[in-house]
Amino acid sequence: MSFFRNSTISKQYKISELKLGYSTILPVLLILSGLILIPVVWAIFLSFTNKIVGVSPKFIGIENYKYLLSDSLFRRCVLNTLVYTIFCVFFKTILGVLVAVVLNQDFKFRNLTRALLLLPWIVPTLVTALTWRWMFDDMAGLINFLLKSCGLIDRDMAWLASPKLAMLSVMIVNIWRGTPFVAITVLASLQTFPKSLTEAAVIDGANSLQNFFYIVIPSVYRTIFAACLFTTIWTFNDFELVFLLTRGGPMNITKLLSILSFEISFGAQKIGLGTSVFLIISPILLILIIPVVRATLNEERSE
Amino acid sequence: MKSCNWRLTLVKILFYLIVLILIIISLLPFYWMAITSFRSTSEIYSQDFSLWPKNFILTNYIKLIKETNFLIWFKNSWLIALLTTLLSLFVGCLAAFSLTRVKYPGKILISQFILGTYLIPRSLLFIPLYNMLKEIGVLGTHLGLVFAYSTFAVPFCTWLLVSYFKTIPHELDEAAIIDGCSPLGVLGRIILPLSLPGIVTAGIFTFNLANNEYLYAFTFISNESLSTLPRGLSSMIMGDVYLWGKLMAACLLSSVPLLILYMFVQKFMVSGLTAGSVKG
Repeated sequence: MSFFRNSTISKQYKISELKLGYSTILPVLLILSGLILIPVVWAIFLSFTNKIVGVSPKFIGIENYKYLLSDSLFRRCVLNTLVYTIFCVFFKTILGVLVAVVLNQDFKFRNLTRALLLLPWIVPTLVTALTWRWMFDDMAGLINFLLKSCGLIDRDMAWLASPKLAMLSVMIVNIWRGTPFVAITVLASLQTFPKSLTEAAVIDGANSLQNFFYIVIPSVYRTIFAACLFTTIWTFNDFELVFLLTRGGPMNITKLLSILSFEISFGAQKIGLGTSVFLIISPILLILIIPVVRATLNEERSE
Repeated sequence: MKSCNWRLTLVKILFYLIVLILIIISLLPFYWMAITSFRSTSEIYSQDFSLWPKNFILTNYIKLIKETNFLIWFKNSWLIALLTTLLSLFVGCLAAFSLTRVKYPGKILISQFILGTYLIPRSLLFIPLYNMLKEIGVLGTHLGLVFAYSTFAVPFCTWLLVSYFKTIPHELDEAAIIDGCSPLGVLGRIILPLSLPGIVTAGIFTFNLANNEYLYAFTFISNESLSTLPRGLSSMIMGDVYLWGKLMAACLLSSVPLLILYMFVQKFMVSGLTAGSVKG
């Protein structure tokens, strides 16, 4: 469809359509080029220098990258980030689909339930982090109290301070916060799913589990996949939640790449090295980002 | 027949049990936040643990308002988020119009660019952005934060608006064009009024995103009185001293307005938030 129906006939129309199109997209392009494209190019430049705050940068080639590859802390952080991302995304996807299926049923208080289940996603990350930090408190925390009264543990646990539990604890908080996103995304697609399909399957003798796995899941599979990819990118880039919960401790157990990058560039003020941390793993990020962009846009065209 | 009924009841009970467990899991932290905020410090750390405060007190709230800049942070946060949202909505509506209604070469590339920029990690961007804002002299100011927040708010908002604008039938703009309406008139008189619920929803989500931001606020703002809520709240933690009562009161007060806003849009949300962007 086009505003300028006669565009094939008149050159005048074609030019004014181009003008209209480019002039309306221009503000966004200017903002994004100025605030994202230029900084990213600048970051790539910095990563090849030994830039430290207050000192002018000197070109040092790929020294930063070489240093990181040989740095055991960097490798530790890559591992942490991968573990964190894979576990969190896995559970967020499973639980998100479960919540979406529950919310897609007809029952009393359904709208209220939907509103309540999506709350964790709305409050600021800082609020989430502080509240959970308090719940995980080893002296007077709610989690220890509840588990003790259920008889599951017999003494107080240091959830965020013990090397064995810290990663698990931050992952629980991430899953608690991130599940609603998967849930609403999948729910939106479940709601466009025609009921007649499952009804037909029931007539053909399918039970509800078969219905779910052979009819419902395949038809919303693409949505689940897309939500999963978005979640993966966000989890991979996550900084705030873990930083506020543990600051990467104890003993670097929960130190993610984003925290490492922050510490190097903001704490130690080695900006050149700090930017390299994310650029060196940008191939992984691109492997994630490109399919998201492709899948999202392809879907648009096929609509 | 009877056994069938019995099974149905069991399934129903099981279903409501799952719903109940899910609700408890998602609300427990909020409950604990609220309860803690009404307790005195001695009660918070007392040995006899209870799920209910012995006496509700407002001391934490009074202390919060009196001893910290909570109200100023609140005002800063809402001002910055509001400016970011208005900017994003303005350029976002124009861009969404361009991407859904006008034909020109390079459109796919531009869509890819916009979506791609939304996925760039803030941890990478904050260093060069810091330098850039410093160069143009807005580092540490509210305007600087509005610029910084636009890096995620503009692509996000544009993306939501594109999906709304697509749902407005093209036949309407054709009819308007035939009646002599200009292309921008179609945007102003047909598309914008029809996608108002979508624009409100996109606006509230963008607002929420900007309001919740922590990393940029934490690194770019050095003056405490210019601080946003998340940054201000984190500054209330002094070393290892956590005044949980006061902190939880602050958490509650900063969440409640957002929750109210959210209740207002949540009915549009399921149909709208991801329509188009990740629709199956």
